[in-house]
Amino acid sequence: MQHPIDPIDNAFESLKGRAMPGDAYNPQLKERLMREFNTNRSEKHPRRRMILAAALAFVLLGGAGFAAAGGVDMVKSWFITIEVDGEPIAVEEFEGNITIEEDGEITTVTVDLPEGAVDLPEGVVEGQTVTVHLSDVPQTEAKSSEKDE
Amino acid sequence: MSVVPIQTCLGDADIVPKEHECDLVERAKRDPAAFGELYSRYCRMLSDQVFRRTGDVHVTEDLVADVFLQVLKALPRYRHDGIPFRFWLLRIATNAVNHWARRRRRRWFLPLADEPIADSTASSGGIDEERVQRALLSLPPKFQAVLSLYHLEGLSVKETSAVLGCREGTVRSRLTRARTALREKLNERR
Repeated sequence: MQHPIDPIDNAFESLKGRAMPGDAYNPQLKERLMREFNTNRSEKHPRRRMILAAALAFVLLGGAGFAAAGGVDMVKSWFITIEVDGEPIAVEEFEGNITIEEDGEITTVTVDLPEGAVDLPEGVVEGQTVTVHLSDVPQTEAKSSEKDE
Repeated sequence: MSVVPIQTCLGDADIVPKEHECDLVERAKRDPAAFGELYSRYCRMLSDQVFRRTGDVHVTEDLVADVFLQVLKALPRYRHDGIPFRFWLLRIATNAVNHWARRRRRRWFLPLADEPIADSTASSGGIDEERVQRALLSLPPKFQAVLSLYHLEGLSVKETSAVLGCREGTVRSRLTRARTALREKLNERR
């Protein structure tokens, strides 16, 4: 027994044979596409330059803002701590210089602090031993000397 | 029953050897003349496919232009290890027509039954192809796409799923639901 043919399938078969009337090829469109090709490709380089310039400006401005907000001191504190007899000195208040000199087997660390720049624990006097911890340098002990600026 | 001649739906591009297509596509990423050649090879195929869905020459011309402009922008990202280039083109064209169909449905929300249609094959018990096309256009775009690719473009379920970027099971399920919806639309208007 033959199954009746679905009329929808017949209609689809008719539609299947449909083609766009006339010539599908459009020479104006082809020319436009070729023009757009060059425009599209050349636009990419200026865009990249703009992105690079914007990124550089962001880094520079961000760096300046970071430094202005005390970021440099914060980073310094990650590497240097100053303790007096085991008691750390507040690094954000540190306003001195640390000089490290190596002479063969001896490493001399000099810490120059402006007068009154740092609150030293009670009882600390000139000549007090200062322990300086540096990130890549083994612990050393050095004599401190308070010097006037 | 008369035999309806079936046109080679994919056009002359069907006989282009795959290696030549790959070379042309790679050249077209860098060379505008090669891109122009791509247009020449595939404009007929895409125009016929879009026309079979929209049934309007002017809409087809506009959509084909949009499709090739999108191809121009997306071609640098096309890779041969993905879907075949023809299917990639069909995917872009299908999405463009779907987008047009959605805008059309929002603008023209007259139910299909209200449109005056002359059923020229009513006496023979068949369904006029114009009615089928309009009923097709009244369906959700995802149903239109799957019916168009499977029935009008003659793709297999596997090929249809490659074009649509979905699983074969999804294509089969949508085909069943789409045919049911189409039949209901056609029965509404009797």
